[in-house]
Amino acid sequence: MSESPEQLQAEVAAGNPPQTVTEYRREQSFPVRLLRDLAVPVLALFTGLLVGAIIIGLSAPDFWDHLRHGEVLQAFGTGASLAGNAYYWLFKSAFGSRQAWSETGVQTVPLLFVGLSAAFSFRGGFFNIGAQGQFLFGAMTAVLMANHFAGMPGIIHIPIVLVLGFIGGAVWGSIAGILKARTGANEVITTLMLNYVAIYLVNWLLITPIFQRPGFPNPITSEAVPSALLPALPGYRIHLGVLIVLACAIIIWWILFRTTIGFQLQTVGANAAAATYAGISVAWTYILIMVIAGGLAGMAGTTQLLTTQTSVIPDFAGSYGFDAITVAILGRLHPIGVIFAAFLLGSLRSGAIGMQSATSLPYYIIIVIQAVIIAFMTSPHLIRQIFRVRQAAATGSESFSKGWAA
Amino acid sequence: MTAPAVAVQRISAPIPWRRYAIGVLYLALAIFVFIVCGLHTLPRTDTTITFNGNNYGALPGLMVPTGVFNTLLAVVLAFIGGAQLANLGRAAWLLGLALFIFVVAFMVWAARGNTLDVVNVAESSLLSSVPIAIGALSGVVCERAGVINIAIEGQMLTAAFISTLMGGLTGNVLVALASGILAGALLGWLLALLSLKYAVDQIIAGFVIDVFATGFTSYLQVSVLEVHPEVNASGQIPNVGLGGLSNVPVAGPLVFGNNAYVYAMVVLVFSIHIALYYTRWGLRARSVGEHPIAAATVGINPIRIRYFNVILGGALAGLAGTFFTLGATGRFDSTMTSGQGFIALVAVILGGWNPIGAFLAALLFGFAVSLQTILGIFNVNIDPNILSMIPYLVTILAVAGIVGRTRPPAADGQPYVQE
Amino acid sequence: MELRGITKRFPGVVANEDVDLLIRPGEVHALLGENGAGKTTLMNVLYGLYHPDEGQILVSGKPVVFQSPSDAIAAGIGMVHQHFMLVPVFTVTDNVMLGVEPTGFLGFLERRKARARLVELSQRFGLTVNPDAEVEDLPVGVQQRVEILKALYRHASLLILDEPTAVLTPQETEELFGVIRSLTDAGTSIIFISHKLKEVMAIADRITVLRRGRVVGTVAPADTSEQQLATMMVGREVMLVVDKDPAETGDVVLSVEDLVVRDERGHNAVDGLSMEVRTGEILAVAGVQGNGQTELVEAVTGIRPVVSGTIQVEGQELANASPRDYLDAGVAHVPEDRQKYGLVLGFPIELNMVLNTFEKEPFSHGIVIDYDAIRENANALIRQFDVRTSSPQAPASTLSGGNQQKVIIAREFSHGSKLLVAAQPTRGLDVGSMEYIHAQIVKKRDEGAAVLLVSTELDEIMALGDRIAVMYQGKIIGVLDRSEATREGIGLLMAGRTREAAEVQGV
Repeated sequence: MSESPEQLQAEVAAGNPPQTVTEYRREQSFPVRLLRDLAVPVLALFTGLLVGAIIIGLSAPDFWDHLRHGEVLQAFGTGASLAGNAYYWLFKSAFGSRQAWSETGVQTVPLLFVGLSAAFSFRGGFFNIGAQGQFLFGAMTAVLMANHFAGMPGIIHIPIVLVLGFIGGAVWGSIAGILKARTGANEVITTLMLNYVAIYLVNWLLITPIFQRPGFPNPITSEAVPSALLPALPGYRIHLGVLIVLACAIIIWWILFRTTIGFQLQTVGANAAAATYAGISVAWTYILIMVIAGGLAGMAGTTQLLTTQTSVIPDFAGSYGFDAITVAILGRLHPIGVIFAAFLLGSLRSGAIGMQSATSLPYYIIIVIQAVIIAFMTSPHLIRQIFRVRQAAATGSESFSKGWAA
Repeated sequence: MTAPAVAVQRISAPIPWRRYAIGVLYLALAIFVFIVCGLHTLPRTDTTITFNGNNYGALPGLMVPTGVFNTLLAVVLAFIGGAQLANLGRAAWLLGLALFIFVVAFMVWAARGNTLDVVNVAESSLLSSVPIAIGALSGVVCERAGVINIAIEGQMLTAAFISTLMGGLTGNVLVALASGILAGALLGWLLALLSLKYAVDQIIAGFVIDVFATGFTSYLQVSVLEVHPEVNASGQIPNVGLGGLSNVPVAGPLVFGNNAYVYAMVVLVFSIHIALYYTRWGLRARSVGEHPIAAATVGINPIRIRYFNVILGGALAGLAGTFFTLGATGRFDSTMTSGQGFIALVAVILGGWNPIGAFLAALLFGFAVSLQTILGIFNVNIDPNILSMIPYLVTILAVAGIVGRTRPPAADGQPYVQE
Repeated sequence: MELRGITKRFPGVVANEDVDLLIRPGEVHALLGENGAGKTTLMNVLYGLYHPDEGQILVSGKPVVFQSPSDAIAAGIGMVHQHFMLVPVFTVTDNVMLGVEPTGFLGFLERRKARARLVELSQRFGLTVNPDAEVEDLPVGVQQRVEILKALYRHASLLILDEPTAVLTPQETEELFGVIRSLTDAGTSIIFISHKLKEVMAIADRITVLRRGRVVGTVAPADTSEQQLATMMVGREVMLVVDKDPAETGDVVLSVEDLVVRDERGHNAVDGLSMEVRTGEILAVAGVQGNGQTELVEAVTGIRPVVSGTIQVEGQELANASPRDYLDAGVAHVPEDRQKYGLVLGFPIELNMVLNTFEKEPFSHGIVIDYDAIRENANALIRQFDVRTSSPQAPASTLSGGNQQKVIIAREFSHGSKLLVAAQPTRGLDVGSMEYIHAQIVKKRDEGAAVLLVSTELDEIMALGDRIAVMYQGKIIGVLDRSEATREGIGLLMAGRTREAAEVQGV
């Protein structure tokens, strides 16, 4: 019964697609694995850039003028040259100089934090899309604490604020964890709702006396005191956060793949029923996941506060909530993969900022590129079909969500 | 042989903490209403309630002594709390009722010494709920067939953009409307393609479309609409004024003089409800959402039904998106849908995957949106941000099963794999 | 109706190879074979769910091609699947008419018309059912009637019944046989798929035996015997009894008193149950599926909360303790649904072999996991329990059902050994795996463990049990010593008829 293909189909249809745990496949040699693991992301990036180029080309005013006059070749020529120029500046602004590298690093840090946060929770089968709220609460806690402990030497001050920022995000994140653990509330909805609650709550807090900068009518906090700020490389914006976040990535890797906690978490993520059977407390695992994931997102907010955006304003979290998902998927939910994914997105961002000021083409094109990349990363068939890649790409798609009922 | 005669103890049911907690919450609410909205205003403050809408002064207002009125409401709330504790009546109904009474008390209190126009409140709530309700219908149509459409937001945004572009280029509102709906349908098809053919997780596929739509429309807004501002004019669908009928008191402005989208919304809600439960399409679609393999064994093609419903859902979301331009501002702004597509999705869940339920949930959200404007008029000392949180908190309570759990279609979000 | 030379391959497996089958009008044709012999695949080909790689289907002598079930339905074929294909939240009428709905203007459903026809059919064939009830509220026996009505509603002249008796009591099975006879009297042909020899002998006009996807032969019941059929089915002589010594019973290990456990829908699935299991004995719990066995097993392994009552393992009170506490108390559990509970299919075999012991030495030190120790353990167990796999790193999903079960047995037998709780341990397995697992369970008993075996297969109960308890509606309504138990008596108890059972047992 269980070995027949129709059973397998019924299994799949019932929402239990066979899952892959990449870390445990050690039967192949390292270069082979590396090549296989890189093929899909590289092709995805390539396709994303291609789609971006098409949109840039089509949005060139000359393109349509030429086309109207029947000059097809010229039309495509202008489109291509505009796109080429855009990508030239994109690349140059991301990697063209030491300053550019520094900016790319600055952009990478928060993306890496939130990407780790999302990847960690997805591994545990917890579809947490609440990084935005956790990011905000990390920053709010940090700004309060940074100024509460003003006057301390940085060497003590910074760690305290970082830890408290972690806790701020962890507390906010654990709400969704507790709700799922206790009542089974679907985390996609609760984390989404908690994002909105966080936004409004922060908007309100920002005009209360506790947070509002004295003498200012608009919602903005005081600046974080200098002693709490992360030291930067002289002459550059690149800061200590790079090392902190890389250390976090390694710790997360270690937890996931070398400890019983990671085993427990991945078992819950792959098959919660089997985890229960095996004596793992699924409820506690969910809470633990959200404490750590929320904490990491909180750290993202905290490092932002202690480096580039020294005070919290209503739009402080930007699009980091959604970026978290992109980075996690692009990095195949693997901490080391997430490092590369965050770096890629960070360089796209720093590049796009440079591109916009040099060519006045809007920054937003990179969002389109990101969307295409995720689509290709998550479809086991799409890349194979388009690029005729053999088996290599078919490493299976991770199942992220299990519908509302799960 | 022996059949062991076991004396079975009758065990009393476990204590329903959840029910008690909600009951106590209602009682607390009653006390709050009594003290803050009632007692506080007892020394002779009046609220004037009118039902005129835009026909100012058509009917004389109703003078209500704020304090006394709210004290009465507090008593009613206390009764509801009692009913909840004693388990009389269905929890969901009691919650709706309690919420409604609390809102009335709050509004009457907010408008103390002032005039509260019920028709105005209702009208602006209806209008604010349009994109949420039509978007929620999109969600219902998709999820009933087993596909979660988290792309409603992106479909709405793209439709808003395309309708503006086409409206601006052709100057024809109907072309703008049609192209907006078409754009939504196209993204619906994309969602179907990604999730049904290419086996992308449904939520991820929807998310991809949302991200894509945000980037795509923002990019073109800056690179095209800002460069050619004359194109950023979708035109607007004129209000439907059913002649002199709109001057009839109370019902006039509410029923006969409205934004065309309001009518479309009401018609769609009921026709989709009827189609889902009383037609062949509805029966088959729901069977696919509940048990696609069973549907396949009786010769229904689940994939085809899902394609159809997801494309239809996309078209509905597209229609909802055109509301932002053709039904409201007449121009496109970057990320102008501001997350209402996600709220629509929540309305689907809150409404129990039922068109009418989703519509009621959308009304709740619409009311919350319009409340901020209304309170602004009364100069109420409550930060609008606090009020804005309420619908989201209610949603969290709802999905946590605190007000009774609703059941999604059994195969919602599950891939169906053909041999 | 005829199948000629049907071959169906799946990646890595040939499910059917050159199968010929001829069904005559009005006959009951049994398709007999082990699990995995290809019976269901063959029927899915006939029903248009799969397309054969080779061969053809002939209806009344003319070749036809079934692109989808609709074509098969149009050709008069109806199928009652082993797992019912009913939409639980729909009414009986909606389920029956789904796919062939009578509709009027604009596709509006004419439910009244469908309901009238359904009522007429159910009266004609004696298939009583409330057309307005929601399917999920109906007992399985009635759901099966709905499935049969569904086929009749489509004018089926050939009805395929896939393992129809798996969920029925012996008495309900008799009723089903009555229905089958009234259908064949009306000219309907029946394909009766089963692996149960006795039933096939009782109902079939002709029997076709399948083994490993091939037809072994077609015989009439009068010309054969159970033993011969079994040999045809398995390909060798089969021992129908398990060889074991009498139990040497010792102290009470598991003691359950007045246990009440609820199912998902809040009903008392286990309703005041008491029992004891001692060292060195196998207590076999018989009963029709859905009488609370699943909930009982989940309660005595810590998975499901207990409403009231006590569960003691060697005197230690464990009601409402966590699965971890049960593990620590020395309880091993072979779960009923091995793919849902027993394994993480995407994980490698080696990790599945430490699924519930990974936190203990030597597999981890503190919180750090020792993958080398896990690998060693897996290699040893794979050898010891003869798990057929290419590598301990292969995902569990790549194993056959029998080998998946061996992984679970290997894991559960390698830790806590005071009490073994085994639920449906051989469900869906071939005879070879079944014999192996039975032998392992007996070995465990002989080593002094107490064994609680839950099975819906009467043969398994009779073969393994030292004492046999029959569960009915959440209670144990009778406990018999193996020596005094008869199939008939247990069958009556399974249907809740204690008095008749007492007469039969002569006690």
